[in-house]
Amino acid sequence: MLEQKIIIFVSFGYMGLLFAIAFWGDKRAEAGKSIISNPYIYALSLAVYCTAWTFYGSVGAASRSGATGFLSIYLGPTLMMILGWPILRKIIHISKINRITSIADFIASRYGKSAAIAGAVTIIAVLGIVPYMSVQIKAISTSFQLISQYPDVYMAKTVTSLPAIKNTAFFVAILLALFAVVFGTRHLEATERHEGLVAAIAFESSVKLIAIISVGLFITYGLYSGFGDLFTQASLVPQIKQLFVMEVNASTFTGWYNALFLAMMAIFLLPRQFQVIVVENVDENHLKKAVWLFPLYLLAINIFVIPIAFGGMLYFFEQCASDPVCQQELPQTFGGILKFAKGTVDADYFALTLLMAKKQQGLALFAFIGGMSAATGMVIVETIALSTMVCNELVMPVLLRLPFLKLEQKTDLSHLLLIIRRISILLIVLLGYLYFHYVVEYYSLVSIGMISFAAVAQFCPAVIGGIFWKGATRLGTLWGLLAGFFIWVYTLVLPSLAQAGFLSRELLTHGPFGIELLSPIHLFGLDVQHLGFNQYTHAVFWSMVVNCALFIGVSLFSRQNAMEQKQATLFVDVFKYSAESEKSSFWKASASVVDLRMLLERFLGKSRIHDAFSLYAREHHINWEQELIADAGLVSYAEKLLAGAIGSASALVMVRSVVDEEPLGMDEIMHILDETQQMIIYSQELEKATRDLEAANDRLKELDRLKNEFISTVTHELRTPLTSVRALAEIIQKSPDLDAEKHHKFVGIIIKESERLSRLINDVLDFQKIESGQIHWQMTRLDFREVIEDSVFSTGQLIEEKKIALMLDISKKPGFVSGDKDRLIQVMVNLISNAVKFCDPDNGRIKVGMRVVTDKTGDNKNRYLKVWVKDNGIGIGKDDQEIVFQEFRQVISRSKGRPGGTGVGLTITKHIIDSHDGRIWVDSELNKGATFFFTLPLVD
Amino acid sequence: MLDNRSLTGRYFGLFLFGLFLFCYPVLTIFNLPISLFGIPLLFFYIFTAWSVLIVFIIFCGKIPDTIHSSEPDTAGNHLKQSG
Repeated sequence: MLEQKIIIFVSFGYMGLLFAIAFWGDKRAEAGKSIISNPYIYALSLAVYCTAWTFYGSVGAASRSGATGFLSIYLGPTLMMILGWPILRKIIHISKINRITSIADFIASRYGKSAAIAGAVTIIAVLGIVPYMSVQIKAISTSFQLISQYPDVYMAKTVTSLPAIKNTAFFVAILLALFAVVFGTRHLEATERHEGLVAAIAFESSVKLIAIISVGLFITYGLYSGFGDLFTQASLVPQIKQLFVMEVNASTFTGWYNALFLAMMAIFLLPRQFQVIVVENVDENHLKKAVWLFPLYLLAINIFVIPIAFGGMLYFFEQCASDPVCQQELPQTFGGILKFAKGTVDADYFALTLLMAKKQQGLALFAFIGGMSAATGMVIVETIALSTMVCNELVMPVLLRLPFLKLEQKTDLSHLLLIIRRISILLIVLLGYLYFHYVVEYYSLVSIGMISFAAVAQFCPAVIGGIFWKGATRLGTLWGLLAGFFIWVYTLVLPSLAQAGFLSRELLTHGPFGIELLSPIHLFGLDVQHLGFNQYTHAVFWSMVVNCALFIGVSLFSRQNAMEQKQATLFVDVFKYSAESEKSSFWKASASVVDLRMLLERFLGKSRIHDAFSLYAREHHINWEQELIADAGLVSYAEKLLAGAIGSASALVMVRSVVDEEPLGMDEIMHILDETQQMIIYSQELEKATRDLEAANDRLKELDRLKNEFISTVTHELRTPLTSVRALAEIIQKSPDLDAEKHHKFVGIIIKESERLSRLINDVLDFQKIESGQIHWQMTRLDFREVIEDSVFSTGQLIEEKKIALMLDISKKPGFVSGDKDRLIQVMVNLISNAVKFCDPDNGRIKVGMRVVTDKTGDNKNRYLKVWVKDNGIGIGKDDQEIVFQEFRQVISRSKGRPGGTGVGLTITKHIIDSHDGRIWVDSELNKGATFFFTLPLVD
Repeated sequence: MLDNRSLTGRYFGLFLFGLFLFCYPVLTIFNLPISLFGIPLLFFYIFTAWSVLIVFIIFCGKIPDTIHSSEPDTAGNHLKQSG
């Protein structure tokens, strides 16, 4: 049964079946009846993680190192899926909103839609995945070779260097590429979702699971009587028994954590994983089930790995006992390869060889199909994901910028895009073949795969940091990625090339140019031997340290432009802005709808754009016949659609070329930000104005109170003399025979009171003139001594009445000032009257003085006139000294009560002195009298 | 609200628990040359712990669901107002 023809026929039949499922899935999707929209299919699609590595490589690893040799690769993803809700869900949500099409698109979009980052991620991904690709090619070729040579189980000694297997591998590679092209590039999907592909992958995940379980069941219960029996028999063989426990040393310690970490990163950072988890996700809620379904799958697929490994070892060691070559070379610790006279047996392929040895043809074929299925699934999804990235992020940006291609003017570019993708797929698979051809035969499947894991782990800071830390900048990410990648190349790829013979081994041990510190396998003198670091742990350590350090360090010291900040907020705060970010648009104005449509149709095809625009029109109630100008929202929508086909960096460029006005340039953004700033300032000023108004209102109330006080004071003051005048006039009228003396006295009082009234009214009028600025000064040059004389004369009677002693201390020299004589006299009279008012009536003393003062401060010689009026009255307290000059303010003493007057006298006095460029103040202590000083500038 | 934040917290806690279950020191505890039900202890432990962890993951996501579905609407609103 196991003839090459049949094997090939069955293999192609199986691929045909997968293709049919994919085709059906796509058709159903187009009809709107998606078959993949359920969590079980979603979880199964994640199982594309399990490749030939799982099917073959794990068995080999188990036979070399027991449980801890391979299980970390599956426990890591289990742990990571637990974090699926906080981390993966956020990534999925962000990607849906921003219509992310690949991991390169995701990272580039986060850091300001940077074309540089998109390109860097793509290159790292492609180069990093090449080893992984070669693993699959090796596995398929080797397993095909093995099963074709049935019943011969042993591979001829030099078989791996035979042209035959290399030819097989080449054909395998071409076939794989063709399958990938057929599955993934039939047409251009705006969202880069491939429902049919997901359906096919889910199917093949089931097949490989069933295959390995069938093999395992057969071995455990067919060849032996259950696990107990198997392990009991295994314990009789020392090389197997020692695998029951793990070797506890530094090497297994670090190796365990290293593999755990790498697998945790790989489960979502590998391009194919990002594709199935994020891009192909139909409903976020599927993640809830996938979070435990997928770990369950991983558990199930690993249950029988150890039985298969031990079963293989048991059988072949037995064979070894009767084989002369093998007996000689059988090591204490199994290294994975057994050499027989007839050829070699590689533990990696025990699943096949054991079945073949036991003549289980059907099962062996099933196992082969399972392994082939696992490998092809990986290649198809991985190459599709990578080709999308290469096309969108590497090729298209370059082509769009080449002016001689005039791509903007071509009417149909979808064809070009597809061609670019197909070529990319071919090239990537060929690269994988070349790596296999020259390097891979020296390594186990697991160790080659680890190289790829270490490569994609470089994306970890960019992605995880990007979705949680707004401060992560484009520059930081770029530095981190490039440095991490460089270290990866230097510490992993270089050594593998050296070990394969392409470079001198001296390089490894003694470093480049003999600088041992820079040796690729113990960089900077890291004591890898005692630490137990194997090559992978060493590489992961240095690359992650440098990557994270630069990512964080450079981010902290670099600034983000407006686009970066916007994207950072959109990503990190995605759950806050979910609804609004749909409308988030950076476009200032509009394009014509027709132009936009034509642009999109060139890349995505007429029918798809028709559907997309109809959808938009329905959601936003737009009639395309009436709306000729696309608003910012539609432009943004168009940009996102386009990004699905050609990546966000290129989409930005294309839409820019169509929109009438440029999208917001930096200064426009700054302008808008300025306006916002102005709004903030304006509202702050508004607040200040409100506070000012409140203060003004308070002052108004105070003034109102003062006005009322003034009115009551004035009316009181006016009424008193009026009352006296009236009373006395009445008496005089009513008593015609009043004696002459009294008559004379009364009339005198009337005159005096009238004068007082006049004075008061004049005061008030004066005050009103001052307040309204209506005073006219009549300035003349005068000798102030005359002013004093006149004022003393005016108040003479008052002073005599009060029996106050007035003393003059006037300088002998004249003091010439420029002023209004009457007003100055008014000042003196006011001061003297006040002094009289507050003096002790029996013992009052008033002193009036005048002096010319020369002030020699600084360079200037100031000459001014100083005049004072001193009394020995009740004095003015310190607090009141401030307010005596204010209008309506009167010092109310406890003993004497409210003084008479309107309270405006000093105010007028101060105003007059101020208007003469003078200064007036009071010097006083309670009960020790008061001295009013004023100065006036002298004139010559 | 028994929603995202507490869910995230639970998953994170479970993640730490899983890290603990499979950390190297804990593995060495079971690294003994004895067999349980005929299976070497280390293998037995790893697969059992793995299964237990998966069961925990299932319940981690389930409990909020049952609380949401059994609470009548008014109580739900009340929770919202007081929260």
